Parts: sequence; structure tokens; C-alpha cells
Amino acid sequence: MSNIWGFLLQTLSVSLTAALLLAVKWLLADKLSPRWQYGVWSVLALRALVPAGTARSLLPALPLWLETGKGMAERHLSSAYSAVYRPIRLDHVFPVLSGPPVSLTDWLLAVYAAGVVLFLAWYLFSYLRLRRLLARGAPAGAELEAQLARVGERYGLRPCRTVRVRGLPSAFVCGVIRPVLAVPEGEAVDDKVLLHELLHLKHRDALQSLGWALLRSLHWCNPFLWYVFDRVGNDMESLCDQRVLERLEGEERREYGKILLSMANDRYPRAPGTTSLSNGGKNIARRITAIVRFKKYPRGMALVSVCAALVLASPALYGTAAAYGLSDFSPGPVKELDRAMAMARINRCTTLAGALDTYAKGLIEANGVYIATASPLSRHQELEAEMRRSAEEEGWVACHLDRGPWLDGIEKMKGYTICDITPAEDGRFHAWLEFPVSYFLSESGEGFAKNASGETLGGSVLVPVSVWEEDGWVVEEAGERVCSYRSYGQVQYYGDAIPWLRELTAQTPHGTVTIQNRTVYTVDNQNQADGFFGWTSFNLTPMVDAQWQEAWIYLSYHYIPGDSLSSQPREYAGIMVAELDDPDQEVEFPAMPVGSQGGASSGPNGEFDWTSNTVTGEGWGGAVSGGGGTYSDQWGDGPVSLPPAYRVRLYWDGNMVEELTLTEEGAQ
Amino acid sequence: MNEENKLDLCMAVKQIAWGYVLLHFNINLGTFNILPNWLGYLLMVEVLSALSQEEPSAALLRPLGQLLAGWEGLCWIMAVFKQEVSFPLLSAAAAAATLYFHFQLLTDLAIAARNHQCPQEKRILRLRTARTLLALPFPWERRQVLTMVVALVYMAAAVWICSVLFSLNGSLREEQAGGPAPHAP
Repeated sequence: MSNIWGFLLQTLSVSLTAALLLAVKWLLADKLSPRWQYGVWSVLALRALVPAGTARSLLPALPLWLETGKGMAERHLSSAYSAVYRPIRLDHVFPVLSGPPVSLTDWLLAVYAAGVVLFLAWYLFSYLRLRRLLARGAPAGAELEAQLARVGERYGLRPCRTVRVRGLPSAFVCGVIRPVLAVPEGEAVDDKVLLHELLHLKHRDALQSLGWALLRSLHWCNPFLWYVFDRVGNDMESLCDQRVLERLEGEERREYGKILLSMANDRYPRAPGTTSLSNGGKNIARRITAIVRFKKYPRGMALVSVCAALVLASPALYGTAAAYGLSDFSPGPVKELDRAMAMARINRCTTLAGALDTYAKGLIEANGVYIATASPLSRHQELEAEMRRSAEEEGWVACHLDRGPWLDGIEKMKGYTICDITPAEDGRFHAWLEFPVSYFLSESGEGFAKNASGETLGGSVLVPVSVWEEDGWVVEEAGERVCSYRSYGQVQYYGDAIPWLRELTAQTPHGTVTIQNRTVYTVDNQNQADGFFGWTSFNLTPMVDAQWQEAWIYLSYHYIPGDSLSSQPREYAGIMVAELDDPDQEVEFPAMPVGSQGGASSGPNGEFDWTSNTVTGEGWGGAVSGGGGTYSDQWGDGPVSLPPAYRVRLYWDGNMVEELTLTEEGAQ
Repeated sequence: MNEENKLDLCMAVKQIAWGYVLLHFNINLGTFNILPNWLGYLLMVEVLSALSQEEPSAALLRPLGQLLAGWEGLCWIMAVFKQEVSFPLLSAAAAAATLYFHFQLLTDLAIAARNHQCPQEKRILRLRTARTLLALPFPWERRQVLTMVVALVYMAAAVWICSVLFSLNGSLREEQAGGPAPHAP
């Protein structure tokens, strides 16, 4: 974590997980075994070691609250570690200072980092001091060695080096790599106490206590987590008690309880990497309660224990995504803009389709927060300043952002379409957003653009955009907007106001053939029908994780017969086109209808688009043209692939005169 | 166990079976679910004392069942008023408690079946395992086919649970009426 906001997000996320686990442990206190009661803390350990994210949380509103608070606080500071328009992000859970602190929040992180270092140093010092004390301890002696060997042999446990130390309140194991069992000098040690410590040794509890001490250091300024880590330590001891009791018989179990009771007022070693039978009066009381409840849990309990832990781990580690609604994106008063822009910073677009959908709806709604959600973070300051200016000086709602040229006549409920997504340099994609408009303002800015008959011109506005992934998918306009004085509405844009995605041309003795392609993508933006009569409308809520609903490959073909053919006394010219998966693919064409007509036919191996025109009379314009297309289901998050080739047949009066294959390399 | 206790056990099993019917099946009139889950839990909680005559650990389920009834009641009321339940912390705690509640309840019913030599014991234990595994949070919804399959499995498990518990009730009644005691396979 590189700023105090990251620490707050992490420690609050860990605290929420701890609160969840405490609640469930309370519910199941007398129902699930001490193994589960301690084991379920592994969910907390994972949560504490995995950096918290802002997209999902156990409390979905938490990241937004913190991001809003950060934005408001940092606006008045010149912090070195955090900035208003840089969202809270955690790469890891350890504090890192990237330079000298400057502001209040920088100093808070510095104090926190110093606290972590001091706590770790204190733990290390305590451990070394304890090891030094043990180094001065007396050897165990033959009698104790024999007792240890006997206990170890009886319960199948391996003893470690043992020392006697004067003044110790109770036995404990210290160390992870070369553990030492320390026992009080001059006192007889009960077999059950040795059994308890040997079980700690077997299950490497000293190593676990070291891990918990590290987490305690990372959250040293969170008193709730101090309480929680105490509970973890107690559950570790309760589990060890359970393991001891499983190995003891009736009377021995009662005696074990008495031993614990006798330690209720003892001090105990607190150094990390140490385990002790005694862990404080209050905790001993809890352990005695657990002992009274002792039972051997049936084997089937393992299943429910593991499943219950998994059920808790899922929300704690993966979290829940916040469901932002239209009102979150559309603040009215300026004071709500901080929260909305915080949402735009943390609620990034997760798909290419999501970014284009969000940006397009931003233009439709003239909503700066939508636009910011799908824009690079480097643009946020400029966007927010523009929204504040228009709200304060022009009286707009806080989220208003001017749409820019040509889009005043936008037809909201007709939505938008996306055309021709193509890979560009640096992993970016280029695309066109098409918006139907009911009018264009005239170039002079006065009145509407009209045709020669004085009718108001409507049509489409095409916005070139660049899309790339950078802290989520983002969009930026990439050139001049283009006006097309012909409206295609919610249908696919197949006009030629913008360049075709691909154009294949062939000159043959029988004329010129041209095939043009355009790809069109849509997102499911249909609001569900509601009410008795059922109505649908365009969904104007941005969908940052939108997927393609469909992708359509549009085909436009033209055949201009050559002079040699057009001079022959024929009546009809025609063209039939088949899409190929492979340039060498065999295609069985259906019969070409004769007459002035066009359409699509299904053949034995695919779809065929065809058009036939009369070449005599006034209707003949010199070319046979038509169009069609296919839906493609071959998309992932990126663009669809165009067919590698088309097979074309040219006809006169229903008779084929030439067949050729058009590819990007040329005609065959 | 005296005759009165046996009668209580029959009633308890029948009521728990109806509780599962309420839990697993929903009939909605608009936003109003006329087979509410909270009522299912209340039916179960009411007869836990009778079941605890057979297996004492069933009594421990009472507070948990009451809490689950409260939680389901809250969800039911929110659904009636078209409000989305968005308390991830409470939902997670309730999911864990639900998992344990049904696991232990079905275990206790299996013990009751075994005590009375009813053939349903093993089936109830298998159901218990299936139900517990089905409650795990796998991301089924990411694949439409998987979602359909899991929905069908859920439905089959729901019908299975209810039919096995009603048949257990029948077996206990037969035993109580002095009929031939069925034997486990």
C-alpha cells in the first residue's frame, strides 16, 4: 500500500471479514468443533494477505465511501503519496513510502509504517530475549528426558530439546526452526502439560503464531483486530486442548481441566514463535467452557465444516460488486459530484463492449460521469472541471457535459451502434460510434441544415474512437466526427460516409466486381417489456461489464459489366456471392433466378446473396448492386474476423459467365 | 421411547417434511410468495423439541432456526415491497448458518430413522451430503448450460428430500401402528 487510504481500505476489509467470522462462530460456537473454530480463521489470514480491491467488497459501498473521502480530503492537500484522480489501489499489503511525506495524509502513512516497523522490532526483541533466557537454562536432566520420551512414545509424538528455567510460570515451546521446550525449574511437570506442548510442536503452532504476529503488526492501530487476534490465539489453544482431550481418558480429562484452572492467574510468554499452555485468565475461562463441551465429533462433520468455511471464504475474499444505478451516475447538485466522480474512478469498464456502451450513453445523455467512467483517469480532472463550470455558470445539473459537434439532435431512444472495430497500434482498437439524429444545426449555427427542398435533414453522426485497456477499458475520440445525411436508426450503419472496413475489387474480362465489408456490434440495451401491453425502451444505464449481444458482418457488392458483355443483346445481369471459410472451399451454387430481383438463398453449403437487374430500359444504372450480411458468433471481447474470401459468380440472363474468388491478395 | 413420544416423532417428521416443501417451492402472486420460507423454518423449529427426544443435539438447532426464520422473514417482506436484499455480510452469515442447520437436522432425522429401523436412514444421509455440496458457492451462472443443469439438480433434490421425509413419516406410522417394521436394505 502506498498511501493511507490503501491501508484504511485494507484494514476495514479485514475487520469486516473478522466481524463476519465472529458472528458465524458465535452462531455455531457449540455446534462445530474447535478444529473448525480455529481453522476458519484461515479465511481471515487470506483476507489479510490478499490486497483488498475496490471493484468488489464484503461491504460493496466501502470502497466508494473511502474513494469519496479521499477525493474530498486530497483536493485541499498536495500529497506526495496520493492524488484526487488516482484511485485507491493496493498492490500488496505492506506499507511503502515513495518519498518524504508532505501532507497530513502522507504523515499518517509514515506514522503507520513506523508503527509496523516498531512492532516487528519489538516482537523480534522479545523473541531474542526469550531465546537468550532459554540459552541460560539448565539441561532437562535424565528424569525429565525419560518422562518426555515416555509421553512421546505413548502418544506417537517426537520431543525436542528441553531446558529447565527458573521462575517460569508454565511450560512453553519457543522457536520454529530449532524449537526448545522450556519447563519451570524445580517443579514436577505433568504428563498432560508435556502432551499439550508436544502437540503444539507437532502442528507447528509456533510458526502459525509467528504469522499471526506479523498480521498483528500490520494492523497495530486497529483495536478491533487486536481483540480478534487474541481470539485467534485462544482458539489455537482450544484446538490444542481438544487434541489433548482426544488422547486422554475420563479421569485424566478432569485433571487436565484442573491444570488449566490452576493457571488462570499466570503470566505467559507473549513473544511470537512461542506457544504456551497458559494464555491468560479470561482465555482460560473460555477454554474450560470448551472442555466442558468436549466431544468427539463424528466424521461427517468434516464435510459441513469445510463447506461452511468455503461459504464464508467466497464473500470474504471475492466480495460483492456494488450495483450502481442511474441516480449514482447522474448527480444533480454539485455537492454530489465528488461521490459520482469517485464512483467513475473505481467503477472502471471491464470489457471493450462495456467501455463503448458507457461512452456512447455518456454522449447520448450528455452525462460527464458516464464519459469519465469510460475515459482515461488522466482526463478526469478536465472533465470534472468542465462539469463544475457548466453547473455553476450555466445552471446545468452537476453531471452535464456538452455533447460536442453535431449531436444536439440526437434521438435518445434510438440508441447507438458500433461499427468496424479494428486492431490499431499499441494494443488499441479503432471503432466508430453511430448515433441517429433528427436534425443537424446549420454550419452557420443558425437554424437547421435543410435539403434543396427546404426539408430539415436528419441522419447519423459517426464518432471515431480509440479504445484500449488501461486501468480498465477506456475510450477517447480519435478524429473528426462525420455526418451522414441518411438515418439508419437502430439498424446497422451501411452507408459510405466513412471508409469501408475492407474493400475487395477484381477486374475481369466480364467487368468489375467490388465487395465491401462493414462490421456492426450491438449490446443488449432493450429494457424488458413491462405492464399489460408490454413496452420496450432503450436502456440508458451504462453497463461497464457489457458483453456483445450480436455482431454482424455486412456485405455490399457491386458488379459493373464490362463493355464486351453490355454490348451483347442480353436482358438481365446478375451476381451471386458466397462467403468462404477458406479460399479453396468447394461451393455448390443454387440456380440463379432470372428477373429483376434480389435476395438471399440457402444452398447445400451456406448462404448466398444475389441480385439480378435488367440492363435495358431506364432503370439500368450501369451496375448490379446488393447487400446482405451474416451474424457472427465468433467474437470474444474483441472484434470479429471477416471471412477470408468470397466466391462470386457473374450471370447474364441466368447463365453463369464467370466464377472468381476474391481475397485480400487479389482475385483468382 | 413411549407411545406418546413416538406419535410426537411422527408429527415432527411430517411437519419438517412440510417445512421443506415451503422452503423448496415457491408460488408467487406478483411479489407475494404464498409459500414463504420463514414459515417453513417456524414449522421446523416448533417440532425440534420432539426430535430432540430422539437425538438431543436437535435442541441446539432451535436458536439457529429462529434466526433463520427471522432472516427469511426479512427477505420475504423486502421481496413483497420489491426491495433487493443487499446485505452481503448478513447473507454470508445466513448462508453458513443455513448450511449447518440443514446438515444437522437431516443428520438427526437419519438417526431417528436408524433408531426405528426405518429404511430411509441411508437415503437421508446421502441427501444431506448432496444438499451440503449443492450449497457451495460455485460460479454456475457463468455458463448457461451449467445453470440449467444445476437448477434441475436442485429441483430433483428438493422433490427427493420431501418425498423421503414423507416416506419416513409413513414408516414411523406403520411402526407405531404395530405393522411390520421395515428393514434397512
